[in-house]
Amino acid sequence: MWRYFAKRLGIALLVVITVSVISFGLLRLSGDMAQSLAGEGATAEQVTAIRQLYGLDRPLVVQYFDWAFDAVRGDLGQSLVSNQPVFELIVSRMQVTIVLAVLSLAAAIAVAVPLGVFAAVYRNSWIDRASLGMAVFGSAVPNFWFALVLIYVFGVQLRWLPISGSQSWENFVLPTITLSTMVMPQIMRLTRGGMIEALDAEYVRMAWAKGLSPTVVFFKHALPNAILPVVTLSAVSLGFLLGGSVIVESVFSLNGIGSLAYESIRRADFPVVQSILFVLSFVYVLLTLVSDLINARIDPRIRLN
Amino acid sequence: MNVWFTRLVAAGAVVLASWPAVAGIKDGTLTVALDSPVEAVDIYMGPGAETAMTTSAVFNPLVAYDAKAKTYVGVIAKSWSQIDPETMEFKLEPGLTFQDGSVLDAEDVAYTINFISNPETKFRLKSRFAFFAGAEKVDDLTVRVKTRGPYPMLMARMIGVPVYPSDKHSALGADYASWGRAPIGSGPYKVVKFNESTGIEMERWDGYKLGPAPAFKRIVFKPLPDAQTQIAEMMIGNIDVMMAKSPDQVAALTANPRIVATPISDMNFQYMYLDAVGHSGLSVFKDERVRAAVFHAVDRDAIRKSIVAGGAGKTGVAHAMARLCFPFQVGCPDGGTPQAYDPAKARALLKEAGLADGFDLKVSTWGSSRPIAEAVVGYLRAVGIRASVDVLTLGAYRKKQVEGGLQALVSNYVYGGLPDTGAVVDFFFSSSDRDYFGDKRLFDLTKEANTTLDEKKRGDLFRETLDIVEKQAFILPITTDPVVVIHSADVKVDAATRGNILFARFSFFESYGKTPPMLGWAK
Repeated sequence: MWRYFAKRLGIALLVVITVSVISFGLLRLSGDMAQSLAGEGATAEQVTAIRQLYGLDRPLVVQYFDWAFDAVRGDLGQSLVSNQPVFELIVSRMQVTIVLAVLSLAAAIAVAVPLGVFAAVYRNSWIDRASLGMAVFGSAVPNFWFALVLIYVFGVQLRWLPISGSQSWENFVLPTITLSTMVMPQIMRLTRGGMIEALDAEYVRMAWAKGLSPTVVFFKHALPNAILPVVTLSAVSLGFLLGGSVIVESVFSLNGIGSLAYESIRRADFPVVQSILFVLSFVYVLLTLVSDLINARIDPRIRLN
Repeated sequence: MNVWFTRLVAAGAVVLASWPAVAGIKDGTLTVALDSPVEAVDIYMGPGAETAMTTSAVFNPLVAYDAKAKTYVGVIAKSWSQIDPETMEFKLEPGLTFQDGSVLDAEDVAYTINFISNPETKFRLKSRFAFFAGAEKVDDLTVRVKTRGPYPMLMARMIGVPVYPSDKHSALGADYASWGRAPIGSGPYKVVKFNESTGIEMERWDGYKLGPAPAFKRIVFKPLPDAQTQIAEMMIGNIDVMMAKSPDQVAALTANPRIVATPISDMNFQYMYLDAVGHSGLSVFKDERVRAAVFHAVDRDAIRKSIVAGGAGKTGVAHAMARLCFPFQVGCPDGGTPQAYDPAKARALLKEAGLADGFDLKVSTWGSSRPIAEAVVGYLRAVGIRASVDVLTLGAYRKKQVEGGLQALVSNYVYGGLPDTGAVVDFFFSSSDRDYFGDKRLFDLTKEANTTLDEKKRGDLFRETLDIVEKQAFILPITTDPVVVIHSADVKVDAATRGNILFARFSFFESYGKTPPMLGWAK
């Protein structure tokens, strides 16, 4: 197990380093940072002065290693726009994003797992078709469109729920519904597939032969085996939701990490964009690592292979 | 997305029009939508429209500009005089205080200017203040501001220099970026709650002496980055004021009689220029006839009416510009007749220049000018020029510009609140990396205007400069870019406010039941 852990950890570190190098390089290639800081009207001399003041005249390799060593110590630099420490900015915005991501994942699991189970148990029935229809709808509908429809129906017409801000739990209802539709289809399909496989397995036939009740067969014998890949997917989905809520946060004015990323890209605030990419990739890799380890712990075949 | 949602909103607006009024000023609180969160109420640290709007509510500059009288008026400053070509002396109003009760004096003015001109101080767009050599206190109510050489735009620049209390601000040391989260100013509102994510709450400051008492007891600035969400919040009455982004939004929202659109002429405009030097390898624009043909091909009126918010209908205050400046600005010469829309003439000029079969052209653009560039490309194609749009970011566009890669550019010019023609002339003709014109006379004239303190002489220099620009078809001013304020019907907005929108944006809220100041914080 330890050997497996060390191997996965090594791969995870390599991924984080690679992402940081690529994002650093791409951001530098996307335009002249000193020019963006100085503004459109700045003269060449003024741009040069800004370049020196912010240390942008140093070789790229030096700039990267300076940033990377500071990042490892928890210092992600300062925002070029507000001069605030980037770490503080990210922490202040992360809370909303984490709440939204966790709620969305919980809502997706709460709906998708039972649906998947019923779709498998009553396969090829109207329940199965309706569940698959919902999955197709969730996969096909752009979330910004769905968000606007929810705003119009529940915010503008019915006036049941607030449509912007993060002051109360009510503010999270519509964004949670929107975001959960992004991950619900995969969880539902995976649960259905896993359940169908489990229900056809010999140990389930044995359970039926023993005269166990359907509830015990479905939820005690079949589901625990079918749910394993869902655990992995959920961990990865959480990472995806943390980084993929840019549009939903913007539409519902939640002002979390997603909207910070959007604003920072718009304002060419490169240290913030760089750090958000780094933090999100770190979280994503960490969650993937944790799910790998859980799977390896549960299923010995994984660590032995 | 926009078209679909606009239709949806239009339908909804009609439905809502018959509903009882929900919108309205509740308990004297005005709620204003911000396009993005404000990280600090500090215009130096975060230059941008939202920061300028909030900063101008809390702080005062030394002077403001009265666009009607075309003159500067004192705010914190009572009077001023030019001591020598590089020194301006300001006498301050006596008896002024900051919101914490501390006295506002010359020390605070000198400190603020020395802070922003300190080479070690880090903030964005610092180059705007590169002209300052420093400031010194003469006595409690007298301060001398020094510039690096004669600087005729000093007064215009001073509009955008809010004064900070020296003791409180300097106490922050290297943590000066945190100032804007708990600021203390001398303006009509004080910040009572600051949260970058949820917004800013301000309360009327009863000690405000530099103008009429503010109309609203409280102002809440709410960050709503998505335009569609702003529209929805406006329709259900959760916000009282927002800025329109397109004519569609104006039309959709004003279908509700409880929502009103008031356009404000701003000092921004859209323009186009061509590579008259041949830097990019495309040499056709060395020929003045080809440049004129391109400009004749563009229907500026149609672009303004169909694309620009505030360009048509009841809210139509945008206009096709005659010059690169606005008549109410200092030094803007009258006259000016840019190439009129005449596709037949455009084709004839192209034929005359031996380009009857057209040529390939990349029209570069960035930011908010993209729809204008797309329309321009359509008009150029109509006369046989095989044009396409080249969309860039600011950094990429400037890099391309400096490297001489632009064949044609459609962009917008933002005066940034400077009511002085010198700003635009300096922008286009003082830097060699922007020279796509190849006319040395333009640069000589600009150099002279940049150091001439005599207003009459400056005006003559600007006239000569802009006449050359027009005759040689160097730059086509396409349209002004007004701000259209969407607001609930019980908020009165002063439509005459114009010019320094960064500061005026706030002043029109003052007009609620009162006679508003013309511009900024003019008394």
